[in-house]
Amino acid sequence: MALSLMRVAVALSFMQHGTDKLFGFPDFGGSPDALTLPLGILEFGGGGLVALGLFTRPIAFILSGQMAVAYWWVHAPGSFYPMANGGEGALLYCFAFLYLAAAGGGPWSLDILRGRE
Amino acid sequence: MPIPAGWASKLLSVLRIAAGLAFLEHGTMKWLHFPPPPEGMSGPMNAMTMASGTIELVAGALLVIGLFTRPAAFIASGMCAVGYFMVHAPGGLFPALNGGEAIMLYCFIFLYLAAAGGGAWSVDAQRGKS
Repeated sequence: MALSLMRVAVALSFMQHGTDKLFGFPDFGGSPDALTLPLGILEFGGGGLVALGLFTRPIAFILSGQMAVAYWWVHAPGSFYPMANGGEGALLYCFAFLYLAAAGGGPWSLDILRGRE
Repeated sequence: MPIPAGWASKLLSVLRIAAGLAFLEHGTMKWLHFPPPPEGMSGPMNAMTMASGTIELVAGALLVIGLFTRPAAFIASGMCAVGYFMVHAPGGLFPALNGGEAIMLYCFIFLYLAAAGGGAWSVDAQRGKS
């Protein structure tokens, strides 16, 4: 149960970034570029699927990879330390999703309802 | 599946080590000024930062090595819940905007570790405690 709770909390928080990019809500104030739409779709759609626990393992694997790229591309050049480079969230998402990609969505998930682990 | 299910216990340890190290960093910044704190966070410590910094330092170190994982993670999770509602929640509803996204993620990750333990690669597993 705690696994499903963590999955839902991590995924809902992740979805904020997608809804900001796609719908401007909540508005983070950034200006859109070529990556905004694909990243927004990944974060909103992928985050939504993980929140529901549907196709949890493959989707979490993709999102973990996205966060690894984001950390090294956007945050790591700023500083070695996550607290100083603003990448603490990306780092935690990356490893949490990597674990979900192996462990699945836990007992409270659509994957369980449809009979998949 | 891209990641075999059999890796779950090891990746749980990887998650524990990564989150524990990043959490420990808050404690070393408060107590040891390493890494150097940003402007506005370098003032003298008060009772709250001493308490939270001590939990971050001790529980963070225990989580990194995976010793007493479950009680350490439980205390760290509770500290993060208090920190979220005391410091960040007044700043707005959305964690990504009130500066509380990381502490919220710590809270739920550590809550899970408090239930699941430290995984395959931990001192707890070596000493035969789950």
